[in-house]
Amino acid sequence: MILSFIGNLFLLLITIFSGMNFASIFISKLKIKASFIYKITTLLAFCSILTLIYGFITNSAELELVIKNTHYLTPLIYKIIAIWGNHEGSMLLFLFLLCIAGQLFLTKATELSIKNHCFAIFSLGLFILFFANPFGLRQSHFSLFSGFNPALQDIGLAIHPPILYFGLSILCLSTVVTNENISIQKNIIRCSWALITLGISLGSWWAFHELGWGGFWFWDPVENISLIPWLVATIILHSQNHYSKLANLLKIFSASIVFLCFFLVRSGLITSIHSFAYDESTLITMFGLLLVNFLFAIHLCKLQKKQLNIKSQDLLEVQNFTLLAIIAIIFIASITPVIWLFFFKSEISISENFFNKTLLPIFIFIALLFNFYRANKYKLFFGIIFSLVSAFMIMFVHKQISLTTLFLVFVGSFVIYSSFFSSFGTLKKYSFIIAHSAFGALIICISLHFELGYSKDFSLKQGESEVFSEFNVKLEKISHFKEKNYLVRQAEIVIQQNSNNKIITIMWPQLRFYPVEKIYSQEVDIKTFKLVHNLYLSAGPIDASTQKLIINIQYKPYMNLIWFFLGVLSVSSLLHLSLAEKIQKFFGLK
Amino acid sequence: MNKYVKKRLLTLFIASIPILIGVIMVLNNLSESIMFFMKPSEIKEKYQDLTGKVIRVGGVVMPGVKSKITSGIVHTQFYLTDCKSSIKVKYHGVLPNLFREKQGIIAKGKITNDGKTFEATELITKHDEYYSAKKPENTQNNLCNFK
Repeated sequence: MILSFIGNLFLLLITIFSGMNFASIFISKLKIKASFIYKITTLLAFCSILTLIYGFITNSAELELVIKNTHYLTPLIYKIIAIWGNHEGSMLLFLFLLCIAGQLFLTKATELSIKNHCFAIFSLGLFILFFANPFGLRQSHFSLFSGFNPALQDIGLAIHPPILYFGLSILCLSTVVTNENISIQKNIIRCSWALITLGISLGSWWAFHELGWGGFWFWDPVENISLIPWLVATIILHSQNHYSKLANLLKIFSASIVFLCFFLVRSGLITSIHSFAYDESTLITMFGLLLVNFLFAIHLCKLQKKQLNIKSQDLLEVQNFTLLAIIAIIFIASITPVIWLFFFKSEISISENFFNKTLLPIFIFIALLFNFYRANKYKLFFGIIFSLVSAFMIMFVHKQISLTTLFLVFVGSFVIYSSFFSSFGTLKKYSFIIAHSAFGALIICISLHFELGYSKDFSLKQGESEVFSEFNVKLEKISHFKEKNYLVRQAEIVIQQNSNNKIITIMWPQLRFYPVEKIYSQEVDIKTFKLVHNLYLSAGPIDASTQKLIINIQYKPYMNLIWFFLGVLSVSSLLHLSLAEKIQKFFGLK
Repeated sequence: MNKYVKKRLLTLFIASIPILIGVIMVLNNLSESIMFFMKPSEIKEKYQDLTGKVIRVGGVVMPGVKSKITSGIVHTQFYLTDCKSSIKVKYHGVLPNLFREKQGIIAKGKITNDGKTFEATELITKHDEYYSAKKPENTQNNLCNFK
């Protein structure tokens, strides 16, 4: 009882304090020090997270959430991160990060910004308190701990959601910071863009090494929706030093867009790998949360009319509207199944082919058009020569390559070229060069990755070996052992060079059985090959009739480079930050 | 009409052409990419309209999954049921993690011309955060009375 009471008390106080801050905008009699109350709210949010962590660590049998998401055997680290491995806990984490983000970036902003920001906290606090309460009491008489989803028992869960949520919560701040605070606005958008990019990349890295399918992007509805705030941040980021009506409008609506994404993902409207258990009340209440934030953004629009009545730069606006078109396409494709179900009463889904066919051409269009436009005649000429040369070099190295891939290599090289030569010079442009050339490099790496990768299934007995293009795959032995909360069947597979039998690497793919959760889980083994390529091995079941182990091996070219450039891309926008400037000054770079 | 308005109208007109083409292409793509979700009993009724189209079938895996390995590929064959009717599913490749008998799954692929076999290219085990794969709704019928 006591834990639930304390947790609910914290939540109630958060709601009351942030509500007070928000109310003081309209009630002039309410004279309060907004920043002080906001500090208390943040402290309370921290305390509520701590309470939940305490509940998880001590296996408190009074909280329903703890019973559903943990077990005595779950390792400590997974007990802690289990708090955001579910709907209620993750909403609490978002609330906490929303408070922290404001604390970090709004210190120099006006009191009004803090008060406005408190509206998002207030509405989310209310929602958590009444409709997604992580401190709900145990419902049944027995406390049967059901353990923690094995797919989530991974380091990926420790880093991917907090970083992504932190990025999203910082993005929410640009709703309340007006354009008068230009430096705060810039810092907010650079930080949030970096964190959202990193968060999405980490998500795809997690999917790559945990799901065992060997892919890193599946056009899953939740992945698509995660692109919406990223694209919004991208539009704002690119319009920083220019006038753009659209970007200013998106700034004000950024918090409502973030809540829209939460609504789409969490309401149960869309089914995906990220699906959460839900009921119909979640749908309605989350829509309410979205609606109030949307209405509040409209209210803010009225206040910031000046910000919206500007003449925008045409070309930039074309680019922004192209990105907006991508957002619209993603949104429409995401809700089409819902609308279809409503009108035609049959379930449909959109195949990933749609996204490959529509979104990729638009991205290529953006990459080409705006770099073409920026360059003058000579730069354009040399750029095309440079790109053609690099495309031919790739063709020379890899021999059989399709025309599409060659074209993509051309586009990527052109982006790299123009990122260097369209604005060479001042140090401040570092971030521009690094970001755009990383983007170009990503286009090249990803297209080559899909062109050159291959996969094969084998069935092997102990001591048997099979040929996998230039490799020799040999099953050395199968061993069984016990870990803290699962049982392991581990295969030892030796990968040799085909020509001279030299051992390249030894791989240990596992099949785990979690007795508490009663679930089998594959653990793939990924090994680096020639620095940039990956070998990806997963072991399936043992065939009953022949006693052979079924394995799937995949050759993933340039995989490490993709992760590297995604990391570079994420960090690049931060190079503009004042802290980065200080570091540059310190090392005498400026 | 002054110069400014004329220029604006012209840009709008020029801009509207690629936008229109884009919208048409997107909608065309969208209509091509729609995958229907069906139950085995629905397939029995209208398989003629579905041949050649990629669809998804949802149901419960009946006991008696057969698999054999020929030339390095695992061929699996099983029956998928919605408790009213069942359909034979063939799948080539390593089965996913959570694939078990008596569990709800979704198979993605195409139906053969005679409407009897479903050639799956992808098997998806459906679950929520608590990892419980969906159970059949109607367990009264004979087809779902497996133990």
